[in-house]
Amino acid sequence: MRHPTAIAACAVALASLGIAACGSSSPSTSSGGSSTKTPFTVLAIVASSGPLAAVTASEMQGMAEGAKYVNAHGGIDGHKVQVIVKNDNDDPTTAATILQSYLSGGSAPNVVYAGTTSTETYAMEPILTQAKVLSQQTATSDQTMDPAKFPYAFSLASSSADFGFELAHAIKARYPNVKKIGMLLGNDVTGSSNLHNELLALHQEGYSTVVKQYDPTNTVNMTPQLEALRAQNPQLLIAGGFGAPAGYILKGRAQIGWNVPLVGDASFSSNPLPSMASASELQGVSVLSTQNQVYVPLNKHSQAFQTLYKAVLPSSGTFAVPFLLYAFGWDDIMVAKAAATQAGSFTTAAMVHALENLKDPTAPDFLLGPYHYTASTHTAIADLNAAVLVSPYTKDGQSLPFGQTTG
Amino acid sequence: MTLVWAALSQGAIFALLAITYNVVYTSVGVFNFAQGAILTLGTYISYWVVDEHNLSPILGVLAAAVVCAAAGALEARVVLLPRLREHAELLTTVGAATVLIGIMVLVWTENVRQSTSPINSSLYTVLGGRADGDQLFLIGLAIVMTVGLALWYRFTLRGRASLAVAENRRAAELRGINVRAKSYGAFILAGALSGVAAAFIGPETYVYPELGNSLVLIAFVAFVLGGSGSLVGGTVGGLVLGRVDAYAARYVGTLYTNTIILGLLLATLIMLPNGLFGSRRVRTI
Repeated sequence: MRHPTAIAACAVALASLGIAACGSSSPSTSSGGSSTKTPFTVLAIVASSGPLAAVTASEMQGMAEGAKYVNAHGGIDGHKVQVIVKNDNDDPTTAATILQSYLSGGSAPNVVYAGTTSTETYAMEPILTQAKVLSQQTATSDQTMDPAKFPYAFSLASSSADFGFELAHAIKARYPNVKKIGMLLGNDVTGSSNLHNELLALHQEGYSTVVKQYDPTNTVNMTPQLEALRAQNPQLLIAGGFGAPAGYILKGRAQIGWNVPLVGDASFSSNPLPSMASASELQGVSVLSTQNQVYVPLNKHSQAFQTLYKAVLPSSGTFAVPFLLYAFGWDDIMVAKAAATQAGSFTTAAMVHALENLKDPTAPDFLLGPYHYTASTHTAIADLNAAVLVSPYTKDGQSLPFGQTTG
Repeated sequence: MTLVWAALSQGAIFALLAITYNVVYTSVGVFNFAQGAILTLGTYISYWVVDEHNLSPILGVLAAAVVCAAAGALEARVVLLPRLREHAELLTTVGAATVLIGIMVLVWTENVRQSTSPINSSLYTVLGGRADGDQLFLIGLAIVMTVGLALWYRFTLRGRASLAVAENRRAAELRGINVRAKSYGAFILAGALSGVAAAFIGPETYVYPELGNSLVLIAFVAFVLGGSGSLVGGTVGGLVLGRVDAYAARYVGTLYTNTIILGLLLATLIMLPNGLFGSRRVRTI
């Protein structure tokens, strides 16, 4: 292990030599009128291929639409927003290499969207910190979002610890009589991290728990795990996972005829459940969400929401992935714009200061949030009272209220 | 009993993949790692016909069989048979699988899709346990395919000729058997069987590019456990491993299922190198 670490350290050091001279572009570097101003560059190094490709594609589409919207409204202080997307194939080493290569090329982006997952983010953060480049992504692990270690990194999502507390809070509000909870999550990095945080929050709320994990890479039937959980008589089941395993949980629960309520955690809720399971398999199923994502008729939404919604709505009329993913990409641009506008500068230090003191954390152009960043917290702070359990069914890309199957 | 049905249906999926491994191995003497990807292609073709174009499920089964047979023939033509004497099957078949998965991602993306079953997939109570129509059908399909193929190899001239090719290609050639045609035939047959099985597996497992990869490890262990080249052995191996996998997940924990299955593979290789049903061969050394 020493050898690769030493090589990586040397590489970082060498890269930083090249980067130090670059700095961040700022409004002052522009020349003349708005048409000749240097673009405000957002570099996204993300998993455009691999299991998370669909998630990434949605986030990137949202980002592209956000850039188009800002540019149509004069850009950021006259600077057009330019989004550059690089594929790291969900590989943290590739992500770090691409970032180093880009920075060594002599131009530093104004903002980096560092990875689809926390693993990629974590690999890029030391380089971004060294180069003093601002990054905004959806990484949620406490490890990646530590302002003491990575002062220029921000997350548009709540921390995974917050998700745990949101889940416990929402369950308590909806099912006040439940005391014992069964949990079924993957044993991969994301599943184990979510399990850790959810258990912490549930135990703090006084719940007793029984846990089973599955291997997301080669599980094609979840009946055994569900049978094992049922044997211990929990009153409610929490499920987590992306893709096919989420469907196996729903199928398996229906097969064994287990009708305890099933609550999907933050990972489970990102699946297009109605297209994966039948109505009978979705009976008694709800997923974690927040109040601001519950259905409101389109015409009552902000102009920003309507613009993005119309731009990304598939020709089929239904979303294959949750609309939330597009909104993350959109907000990445809007939050960067808010920071740069408030700072009156594109320098990283000024934008970080602006983000930590955002004047309007719920600006009309933001679709998610609120973004109450502080010097000690760089994740979107969760409002526990806003956490709710909602229906797995959606309308116009938004979650329907708990128990509803049609809008 | 519900767990038994779940375990048996899971085992049937492994068995169906092991059958296609055995068809190629029996005739050509190589292990085709791309068979899982070909099966995945079958799930997509069935989905494309039935769910994207609202055509008959029977047409979905037929289309999956034809396309997978063509994919098998293409694989044989391009990557395997020209280099058969170079013993590079591991690299070439894994490469073929990677390319095939890449094409499926390009065409259908990586989204998980729910395909419609060609049969009634309602839940039934059978012998005190609950199983859906697809699960029961998959168990039956594995048994029917095994018995049918075993009889074909044993009692038909073409079947026996295929066995002769696997036993000794040179000797078979000298006896007038068209070795090249037999080899292509094996890939086409394995592809067609994969396509038929895929149309029934897809509704049970969902359709996504990595499906084959999630099945390939245990199906390979089933192939070895049953005895490479033994159709009955592969099916028994698949059904046994389905139960081992399910019961380990139920009583021991998912963290240990792979350890148990790979331990079983190791024990088989040490104590029964020819597997449960494999035939012993005399080699000149």
